[in-house]
Amino acid sequence: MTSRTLNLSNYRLAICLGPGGVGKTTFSAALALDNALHGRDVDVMTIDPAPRLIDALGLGHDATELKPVDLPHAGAKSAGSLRAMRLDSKKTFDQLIERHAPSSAVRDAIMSGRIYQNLSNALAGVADYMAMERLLELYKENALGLIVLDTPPAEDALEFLDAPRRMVELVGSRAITLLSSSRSIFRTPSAMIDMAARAVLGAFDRITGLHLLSDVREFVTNFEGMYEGFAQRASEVRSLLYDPKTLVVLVTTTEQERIEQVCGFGEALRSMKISIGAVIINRMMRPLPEGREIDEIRLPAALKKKLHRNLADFTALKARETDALKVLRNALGENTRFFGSDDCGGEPRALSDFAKLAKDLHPL
Amino acid sequence: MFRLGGFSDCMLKVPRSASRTAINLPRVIFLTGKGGTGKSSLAKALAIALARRYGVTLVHIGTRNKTATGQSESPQNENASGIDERILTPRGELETFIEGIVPVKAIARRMLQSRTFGFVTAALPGLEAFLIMDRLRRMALDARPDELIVVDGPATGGALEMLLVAEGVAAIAPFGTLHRLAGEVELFLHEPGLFGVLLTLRPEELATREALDAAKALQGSGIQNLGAVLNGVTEALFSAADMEQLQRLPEHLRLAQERRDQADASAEIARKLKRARLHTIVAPAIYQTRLQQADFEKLADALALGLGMR
Repeated sequence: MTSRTLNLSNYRLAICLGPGGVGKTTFSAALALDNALHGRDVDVMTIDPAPRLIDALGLGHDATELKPVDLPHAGAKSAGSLRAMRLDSKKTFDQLIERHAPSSAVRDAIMSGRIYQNLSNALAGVADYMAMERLLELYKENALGLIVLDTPPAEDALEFLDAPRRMVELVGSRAITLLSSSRSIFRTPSAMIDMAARAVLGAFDRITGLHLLSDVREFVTNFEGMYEGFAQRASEVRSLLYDPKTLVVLVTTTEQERIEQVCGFGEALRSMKISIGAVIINRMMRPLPEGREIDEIRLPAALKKKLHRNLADFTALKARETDALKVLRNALGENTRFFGSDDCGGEPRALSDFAKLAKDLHPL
Repeated sequence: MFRLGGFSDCMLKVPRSASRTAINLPRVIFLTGKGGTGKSSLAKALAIALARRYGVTLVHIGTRNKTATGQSESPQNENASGIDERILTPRGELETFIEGIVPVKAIARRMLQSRTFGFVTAALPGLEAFLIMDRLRRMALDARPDELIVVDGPATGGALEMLLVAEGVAAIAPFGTLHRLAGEVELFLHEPGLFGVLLTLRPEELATREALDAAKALQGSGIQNLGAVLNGVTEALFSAADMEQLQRLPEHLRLAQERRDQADASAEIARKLKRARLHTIVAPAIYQTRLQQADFEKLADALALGLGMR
């Protein structure tokens, strides 16, 4: 193995997290490609990739199943393979219902309901959960290789990683008991509270004019028989997050807004006891030249003045970046490794640009 | 600094009828753009610019679980420049709404704490976002005639959801309280004297695409778009002749080239915005480690100029 800085050869899963627009998807693709070029069989799951990435991977706009990607140095004997897909959460949800529904009647009842059609995406982070669900499938399928998971542009990393737990909680919660017409609630000590809550919910439904409760109840009742299958898969997905062969990679840039967001991520992850293995700082400024070089050379005074001004401006920006990095290090603790990616002045377009991005990562 | 008291009457009227500006400012100016385009800084600068003439409330929209980034914990405070700042959180608005419709406090509280209720509200897409829009509507109606509200909104995706959610709510709730509110929010959002959106972007490909897409979405829904603030615009500084002379300083040449590239990108994006018929307001790049009051004033000047305030 060559001396790669961010080496994933000991991992089976890399999860790229970060605020929107920092290059999460780009680095998911870059890390996946780099590892494929170093002999691994890699699957990369992207979410909402930019058109240029779709082009670079040769994905096409409807590639919601894994598709092999032609590696730039194909034929080299050390090369592994790369497959890529885009996640379609609605489709994954449909498949999930198909698999777990006890009968086709239940399946049809769920899928044709108002809740499922209009609201399924809003249901307790269903989209997030679907990404995790698809991940589990891939993980089982690709037993020896590496999976790189790009995550949805979640405002809060917690929401995404917490999706399996919330899903289990949702399908197994008292909400189900409460909303379904099951008689068992009368036997629990909290029956009175539940009944009061039910009455209040009913009032809420009427006052707001939503008349949604019966739909929700129906949806939930239909789900009742599927709880076991769901709960088991959700806990399997969840355990992946804590697996020693899983690396959580945080991607960010150094704008103040992003740094604040990422510090929040770090805190949220800590509260879930998930450790951030690596941080990639994208679009870093390259080192700056010395000011005295300007004075040592013969140039018109006006031009020298411009050069000094330009250098001072960039120095201020570099100082801003250094400060941001310091804040981030303090927030994320000592066990996280930091890597930088220099601003290449443009967006990567060809597959080889992505390979170079991964290769040029340097430890900070 | 110009404050309200000493000015002639025309200054004290509703902004719409105040001395004709290039853009008639609506009561509520809602900023949104791609993450990292400087929304919060620009919102603050805009508040400073407007506070030179009007009363200003600067509203930060918090995310579901926490307050807006970088804001103090206290929900409401008046800062030194006479700008009222407050944070609206989805959760807070939901609580206010429930407390409003469930008259008994204890029951309202119990309801808010119950997981079942969480489930039902989760099943209502955008209920919380909708309630935030309704709060902005009420703030606009309650505002004094000489008062403006600047909203430091969420990033484009979340913001569009917020702006378009009322239509969805009206469809889901065919009658009742929410239906009535949804109608009122729709009216508020479509009244140019009351509401307008200001898009923020940087001279970058992705941020520009996002701004142009957002502009299209706003146009489609008939919500007033006040224009786009192109943030981080820089001048080329070096001429082509200058560049010729820098061959012996390769590193400085690279920096000079970077400066020129940034200036080119700014000009190119400005042209793109013009082609899309977006009113463009240019905000200069600020080369400072940390933005100081003077930098905010500088940004405020640029925004005032771009909005046609004299």
